[in-house]
Amino acid sequence: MNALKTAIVDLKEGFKRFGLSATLAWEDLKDRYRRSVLGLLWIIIAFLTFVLVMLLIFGRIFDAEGFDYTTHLVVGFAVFGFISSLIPGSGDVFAVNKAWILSTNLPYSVYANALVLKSFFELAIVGATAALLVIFLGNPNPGHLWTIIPALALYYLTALGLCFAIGPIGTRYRDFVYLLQSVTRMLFFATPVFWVATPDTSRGLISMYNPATYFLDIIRLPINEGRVSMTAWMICGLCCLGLWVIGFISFSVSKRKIALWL
Amino acid sequence: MSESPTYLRASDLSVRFPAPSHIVAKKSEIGGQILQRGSKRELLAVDNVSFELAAGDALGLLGHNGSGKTTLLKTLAGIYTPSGGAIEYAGLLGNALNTNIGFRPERSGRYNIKLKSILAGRRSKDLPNLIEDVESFSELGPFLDMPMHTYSAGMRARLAFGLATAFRYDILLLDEWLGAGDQRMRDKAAQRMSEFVAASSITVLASHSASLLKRVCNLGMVLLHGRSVFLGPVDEALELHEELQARK
Repeated sequence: MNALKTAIVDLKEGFKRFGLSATLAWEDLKDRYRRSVLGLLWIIIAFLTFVLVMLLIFGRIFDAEGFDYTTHLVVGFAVFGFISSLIPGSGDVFAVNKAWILSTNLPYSVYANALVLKSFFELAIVGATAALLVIFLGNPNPGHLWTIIPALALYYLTALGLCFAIGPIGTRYRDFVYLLQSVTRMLFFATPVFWVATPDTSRGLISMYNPATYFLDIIRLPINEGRVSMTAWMICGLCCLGLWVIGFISFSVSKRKIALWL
Repeated sequence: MSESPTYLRASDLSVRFPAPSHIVAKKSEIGGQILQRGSKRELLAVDNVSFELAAGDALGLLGHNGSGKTTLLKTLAGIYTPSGGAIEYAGLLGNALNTNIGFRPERSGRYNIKLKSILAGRRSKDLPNLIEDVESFSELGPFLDMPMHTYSAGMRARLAFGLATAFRYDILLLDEWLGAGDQRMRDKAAQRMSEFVAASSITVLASHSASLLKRVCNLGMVLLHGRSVFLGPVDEALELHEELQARK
């Protein structure tokens, strides 16, 4: 019970220092591009380059009557960028903050919040670019757009749960982080980001058993097809809940050991 | 600063680190105790340490390299969670164990003061006073508005020291005395450091300097392989420490 209490206190104290997490997230993001002339614009350039090349290659293959492939790809890639930075990042969240953890007594959730916020800042930049691309190049059929707001809230919660679930494992077993990087690379091809999941095909089957598909769906479907998939919401909600349960157990058990493992 | 009487109590404090299984569990002149538990090895860095300090006390930690001084300080600071025992205290507890943490080399000195203030959880309305204080001590002038990566080592040390000693705590944990700069700056830093320590009610200081410990502390604890072998007046602690060193 003490361990659980310690985890809850850490989480509460971490949210009290949310301003610090936001500052660290913003500084980390800016540090990545510091001394470059274009700075954060590189995030937009990298996104645009990928999307435009993919549109040239796959645009004709997947464009079909009544389906807007441009919006499918643009929104999918923007959201997948968020997912793909968070999966390996969550496993590494405590190890990369080793100097901080071994010098201050800040709650560990400060680092988890900072990581998730950094990915959200990136998502905001990429998302704004994606919105412009959809408006000018796409032909979406939007509806129920308000559901994007709770979807983003669910993203935040899930990402935080992921940090607590796998952050301690990545600290104890460094190989785990490399495994996560490989899984994330594989996930990109196993998720309908640049391809379309057609029912009754192998692609459809792969996407059906891939939770990332549903995380994409809760944002992409309202934009592209004007509909909300309750199945996707349920699966995402269950994933979030499952990660929090695992996260609480993992973080409670290991909180006191993380600094010793570093 | 808090209203209730300041105290710091450690009861049967132990800290164990996981150690590689190929390490042979035998006695060493330095470091903590290596324990063997089946196929697992553990490093017992702090072994059942207890003490109680009240307002006005300054405890000096003495011991050979790897005797557990820094681990004990980090445990008191809340960085390591003890494997056994408990820590209780009343008052604002702070440390100056790593004065370089949190600096962004690409940012200006002034902006870094702001970042450190956020890190320390200080109110934004106190920031102008903090900047003025650090600016006046560090004498960085126009360099305060230049990126820190352009600073010399001495300039960085001035800023780091000025910031580390700008905050006040009821209970202060220090791993060695801090200093900065050339001879003139060193005198100024020594004065500021003395004020910084004097502002706290309780100080725990780890150092190898006998003269420093005599000047600052009233109590001394001698650590040997993580175990406290003496706790009492600092003069007696220093005598025992010297005796133990001479035996080696």
